Amino acid sequence: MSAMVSGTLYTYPENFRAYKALIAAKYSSANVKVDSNFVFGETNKTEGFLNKFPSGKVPAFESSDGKCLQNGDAIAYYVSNEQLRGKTDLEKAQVLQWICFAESEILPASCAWVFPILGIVQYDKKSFDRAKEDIKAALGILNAHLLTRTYLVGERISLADITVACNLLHLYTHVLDPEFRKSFVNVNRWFVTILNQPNFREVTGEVQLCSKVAEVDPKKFHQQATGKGKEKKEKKEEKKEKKPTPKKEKEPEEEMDAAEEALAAEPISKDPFDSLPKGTFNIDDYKRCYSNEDESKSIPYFWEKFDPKNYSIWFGEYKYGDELAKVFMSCNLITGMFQRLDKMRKQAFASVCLFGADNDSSISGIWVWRGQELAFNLSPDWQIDYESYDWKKLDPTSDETKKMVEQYFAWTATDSKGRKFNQGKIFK
Amino acid sequence: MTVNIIKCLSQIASYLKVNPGKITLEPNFAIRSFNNTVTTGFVSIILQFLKEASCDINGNNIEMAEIRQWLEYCVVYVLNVENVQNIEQVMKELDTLLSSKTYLASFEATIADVTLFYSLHNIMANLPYLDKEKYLSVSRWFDNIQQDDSIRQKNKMVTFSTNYLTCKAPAKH
Repeated sequence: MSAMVSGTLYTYPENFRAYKALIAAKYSSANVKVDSNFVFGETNKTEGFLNKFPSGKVPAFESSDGKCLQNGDAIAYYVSNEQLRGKTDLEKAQVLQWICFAESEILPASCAWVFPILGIVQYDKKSFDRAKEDIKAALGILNAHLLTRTYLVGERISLADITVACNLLHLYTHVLDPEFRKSFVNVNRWFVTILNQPNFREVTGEVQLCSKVAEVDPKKFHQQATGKGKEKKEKKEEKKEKKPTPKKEKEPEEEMDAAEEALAAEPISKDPFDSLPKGTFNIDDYKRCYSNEDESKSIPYFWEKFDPKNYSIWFGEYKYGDELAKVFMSCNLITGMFQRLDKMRKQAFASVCLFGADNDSSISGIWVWRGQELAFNLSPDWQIDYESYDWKKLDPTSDETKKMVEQYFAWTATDSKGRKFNQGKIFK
Repeated sequence: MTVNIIKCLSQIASYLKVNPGKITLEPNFAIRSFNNTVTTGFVSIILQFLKEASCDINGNNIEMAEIRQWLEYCVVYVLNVENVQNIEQVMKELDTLLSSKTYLASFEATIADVTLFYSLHNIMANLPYLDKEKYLSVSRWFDNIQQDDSIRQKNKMVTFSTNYLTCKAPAKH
């Protein structure tokens, strides 16, 4: 076998095309790193990038020995191992067959169904309804194939499973509601199994299947097309000129590119946490559990779900406790900090407590966030308050940490000087 | 049946690469003695094997409970199967369950799948082709498990050839 592949992947976050390469790399232990400095629409328009990757499309991959590749399927193939590619010529051909199936039978119809709902392309009833039928047909073929088979090719997971599952992701998360899914038992069984493979979860995080079918909101497209900054608007108009008139039989290739570009441009959430691996800990899910359940349930649930590889636990203590006066002022200090950290909420959770009484109090809390470093370094917007606190990273395996988490989450802690709990604030 | 339980346990031991020790059968339960330790009962013996293999079942509590439940199921229903009606009952149950699940208790094969595989091997090997078609989900699951050489060991590979025929000509099925 060839030496292990390593290199850099250029992509915008949460790109299902890039997922294929990242998941394949997990299976083959190839060292594929996502370039965290990549900015879609900027980096890929630079001369340097276009010299290596003439189309300017992502994902794009540059191996550490300077080989350049474009297209998610090609990159995924390159970073795969023998098991994923297929061992015999027949298996290799079968894998290729399913990759083509995913690209030609699933993806165009998926875009035609999902993108109008996301407001990325204009709704057109005819193509929308046709897309649904096309998806039904494609799922029917898959369902028959999987009646007698566990995986698509052979008896182990291959690149065929990774590729087809990735191309189904948008469908299963946005439009295939339980009623629609009912007819495709075998596909569902296979899809859920693939989604829950550790190598998959590490890349995609936990995937929530669609519970209610999303409807087209015609206003959404209009808003998204016009509500952007000036620059965007011009870009959109440029794009529109290029589009063929709707009456003509659209060239699927071109249609999808425009849509894809829009898709990529839309979710640029500028969430600083996006540069870090997602891991398996679903912080929203935990927040729901914490809010709805008693601590006797939510704390064990925390330890059950917590992903120490991709998340960390911190103890933060206010440095100037001596200067704290009235209780209500201290509380404002905490809630003010929470407000200033608003954008951090998505990937962080904290319980911060005030101990003691007027003129004799302290503030400290337990924080959990994505990544192993101090999260405040990820964004200049988050750096207003954190220097007023001492931060200590806690070892998630130690009993001491377990005890502290319990006491702070359940608000039963006392501070280092034995002051009693006064009140707590939850950052969620 | 007597033979089946002992055979099943020693195959599990061999799969986990632990010493099976001496396994005997009392009328109602299996006993295993090894290194002055006596373990009683099918499920306890398997859990003891896992411990000796330093093979933690890493999963959450629900998975853990399901695995134990499947081990019980194997000894109570599958290994004790006595007549054709019983076999049919077991196959029906398994087929319904496995139509929506790839593996019994998790998203990968666990000791529950391994144990059911050994418990079921004899039945599957003697099942007429038509029945294999009738229980397509069990057949699919069984075929997937038996492709793992470390699980199959020296057990005969069971063929599911009519299934393959069906796949090649699905329209006529």
